Amino acid sequence: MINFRMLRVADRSLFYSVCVLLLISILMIASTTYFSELKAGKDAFLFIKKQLGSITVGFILMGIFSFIDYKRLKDFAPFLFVLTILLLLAGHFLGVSSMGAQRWIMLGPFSFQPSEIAKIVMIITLAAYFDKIKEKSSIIISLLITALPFLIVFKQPDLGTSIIIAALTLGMLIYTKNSPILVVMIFTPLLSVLFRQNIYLWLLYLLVLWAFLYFSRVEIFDMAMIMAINLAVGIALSIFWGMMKEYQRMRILTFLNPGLDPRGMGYHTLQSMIAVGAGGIFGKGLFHGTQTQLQFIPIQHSDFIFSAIGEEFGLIGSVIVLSLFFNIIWRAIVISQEAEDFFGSLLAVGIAVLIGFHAFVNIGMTIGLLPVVGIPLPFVSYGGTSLIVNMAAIGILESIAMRRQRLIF
Amino acid sequence: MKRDRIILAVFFILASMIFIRLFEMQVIHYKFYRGKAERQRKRIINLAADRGDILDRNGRILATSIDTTSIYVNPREFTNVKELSALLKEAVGPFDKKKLFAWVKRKIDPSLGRIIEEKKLKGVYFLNEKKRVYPKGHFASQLIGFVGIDNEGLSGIELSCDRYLKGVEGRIVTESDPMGYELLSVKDKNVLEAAPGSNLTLTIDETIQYYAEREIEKAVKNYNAVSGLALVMDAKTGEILALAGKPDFDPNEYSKFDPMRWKSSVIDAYEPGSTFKVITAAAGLDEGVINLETKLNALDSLTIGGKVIKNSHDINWKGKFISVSWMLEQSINTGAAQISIKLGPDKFYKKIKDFGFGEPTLIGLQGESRGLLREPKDWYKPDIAMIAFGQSIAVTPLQMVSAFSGIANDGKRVRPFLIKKIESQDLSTLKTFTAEELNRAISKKTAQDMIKLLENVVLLGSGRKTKMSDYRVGGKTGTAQKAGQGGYLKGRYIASFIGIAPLSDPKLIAMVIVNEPRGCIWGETVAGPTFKNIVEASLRYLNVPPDMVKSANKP
Repeated sequence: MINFRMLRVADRSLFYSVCVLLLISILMIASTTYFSELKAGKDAFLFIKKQLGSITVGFILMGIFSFIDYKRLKDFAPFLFVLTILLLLAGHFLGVSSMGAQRWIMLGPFSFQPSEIAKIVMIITLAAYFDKIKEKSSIIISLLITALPFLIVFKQPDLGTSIIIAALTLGMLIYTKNSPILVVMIFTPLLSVLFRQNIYLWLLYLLVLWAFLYFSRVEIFDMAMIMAINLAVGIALSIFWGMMKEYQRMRILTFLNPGLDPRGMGYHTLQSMIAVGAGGIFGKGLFHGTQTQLQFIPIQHSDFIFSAIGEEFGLIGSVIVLSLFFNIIWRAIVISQEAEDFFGSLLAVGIAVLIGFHAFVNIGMTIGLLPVVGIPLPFVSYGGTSLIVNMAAIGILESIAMRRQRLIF
Repeated sequence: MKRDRIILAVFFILASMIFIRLFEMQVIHYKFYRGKAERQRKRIINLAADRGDILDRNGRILATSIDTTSIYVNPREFTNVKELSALLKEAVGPFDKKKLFAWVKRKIDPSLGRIIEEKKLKGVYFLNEKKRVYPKGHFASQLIGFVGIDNEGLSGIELSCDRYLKGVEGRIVTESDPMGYELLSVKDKNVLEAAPGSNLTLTIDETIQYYAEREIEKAVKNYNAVSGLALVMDAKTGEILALAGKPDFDPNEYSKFDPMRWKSSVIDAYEPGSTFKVITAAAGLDEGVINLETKLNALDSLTIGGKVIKNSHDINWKGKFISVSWMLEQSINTGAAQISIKLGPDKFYKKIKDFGFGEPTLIGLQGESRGLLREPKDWYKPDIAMIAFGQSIAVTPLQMVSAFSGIANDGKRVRPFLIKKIESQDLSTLKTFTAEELNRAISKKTAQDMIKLLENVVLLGSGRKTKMSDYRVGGKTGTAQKAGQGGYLKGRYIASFIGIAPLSDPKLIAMVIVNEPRGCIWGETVAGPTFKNIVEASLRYLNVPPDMVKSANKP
């Protein structure tokens, strides 16, 4: 099984990008926790030690997953899926929630978040399903597979993770179907929701949509279907929205997003933006970011760690981090292209979407581009489960890379 | 494969969005965010300035600040928690070791402060802080007002002259270094020493104020009235010598009193009633539509614009005609109405404006009303008759005394004022206020005629109860039914008297208003004696030579 010649074709650029991000993670966790823990009279190295422990476990898992043939995951998929659902349910009923939404399961001295594991298991499960029935695969069934974990996570309530699961499903579905019509069918109703706020804008949008479909020579059945879905969404939305009272609308908005501050931008986002903005081009230097060191941003070492990067390393540091993430996605897509089989391609695409979307949503919320949903920055945020799962995912990517077509003599 | 490029392109667009946003925040708006960050790590410690004193015209203290000691520590030097706690007889601390400054206890007795200071505890510092006190309690409280917890003026002179009294607050700005330790900024602009506020000398005379308070309190009590107001002004200069309102409050513990008692009603508008007939008569004389010989019809009622104007009481007519003087002496509504009808709305309105009605006197108290004087085009038909005897018009007591200054000063009005002197505590700046002559309301001849008429009211008419043994007095009574929503309120009156003394060379104009007296409602009985007692005592106190030629002294 283990063939060390395979290491020569392993994707080094991907591996080094992850390593640099892990190094940044240790520096930033030190910067955000060392002095605050010292001042509080606690172990100043506690968080750093814990993160180093997680990284060690992560590297072990990365190694294991890269040497295991990824194709074996296909057989494990149903088992992994059921196990994950059970874990999610256990987390929902028995788990503890700390600092907001995510549930933790305590196992002796260890604790982990089932929802982090659910993400990678969803990728494996969907890849196995799509691979099995290829282009004939049913949209409905794939949505049903997603629905159960999605709803459990959504009920926790963990909006961030449920969005990620939805994004994964859509991304992999579009990739599998390789059909522009499907993209149009999925995304145009979302635009309808957006434009429905203004009736004239919405009607104009429908007109443009019809013209677009007409001139694209889309089949008459697909065209009718798309227009009908758009109309139905717009009308249903206005009926439901109109029936509701103001406080009910507010309740729904806050239910969908518990972090939402109805009176405007939340304290978190504001403080995070001040830190990033005050970093300037070159940053204030490690341990010299005043906003970071004076703890204006709560729990900065986990979800808001990017604000410390922005403040202490400035635009240059931020762009480096951004480039590292882009490189990881790029490598994942390249691995997908060169994968031995369709299952490998799908896995790689799923992991690319997972890491890319995670990074975008997390950074977006620290700079006020997106609302605050609690999800970590992959490889950088403090937090064991997320880190270990993401490193295992990199292991899977390397496993696909090491078995790519070129290796077949 | 095309689908791979689409996914890469989507992530490239998302990454570009983040880059654009970062560029906007960290490069374009860098200064904005840096400024916000800097403000967040600054801490401002305010140093209160000494508030100026409020004095009466003779330098007697009405409001002052006393010394108290406030204790603070530098937590980085301070260690002796036990000893300080024992001295203060209460637990102190714990203090944040990163800070340079933390209050321990504020505004304690200075003698206790000295005892602690002698122990010379390390890191313990003392600051002299002031506490506002009003040594005379209730005295002139509605006028002086009071301050809040942070020595900020909340009412009366304390509020309206807050900017002079408060001085400039000092401050120390500290900055936190990245480790959270405070640094005392060395830049000059970050340490600002407090500048004490100015002392304020009022035009009030403590003695006259005392007479006014004593007498109005008596009237309110005797007639079980809701409230009372007494106002004494120097006729020539416009200096307010006394401004007393009852019931009042103790500014040292203002919160224990009904807020209705905090404010003086001297700036509030009311319907003046019969006292306004003086203005009507003066307007008629000045415009030449009447003179002292004019005969007015003796009427029990008069109909104008469908409204029947009646007298407030049955008049014992002595013929078919009455004189202008008799109209004032007996306070005859139908007589006053005949004068204003002769004037016509435009001339009448112009004269009322000349007397200063419809405009605030700008005495410098917050919330002064301008009264209610509508333009003739907005008058209802009966208004011209009703205004003649002080209805359908609202004025403030300050406007009334200012109008009467026109009669006392040969036609020229003066502006009433309260502040005599504003003096900085280091005596470097001084601002004094003197009489401000306003417009000429009436001619000298009219003024002299009016003096005669007002004296007749006292000698022969409704003002008999204000007659003084040594001084010639002139004035007018008023008994106005209180106006409420949708008409006049039954059984609720405002009894008033306004007058000038001594008439030979006017020194004082005084006004007494009793709000809702019970038992007796007439201005003559309720307000007259109060007026007399205040003015007579004040004139004697001021050593004003008597001008009454007594028959016994005749050669």
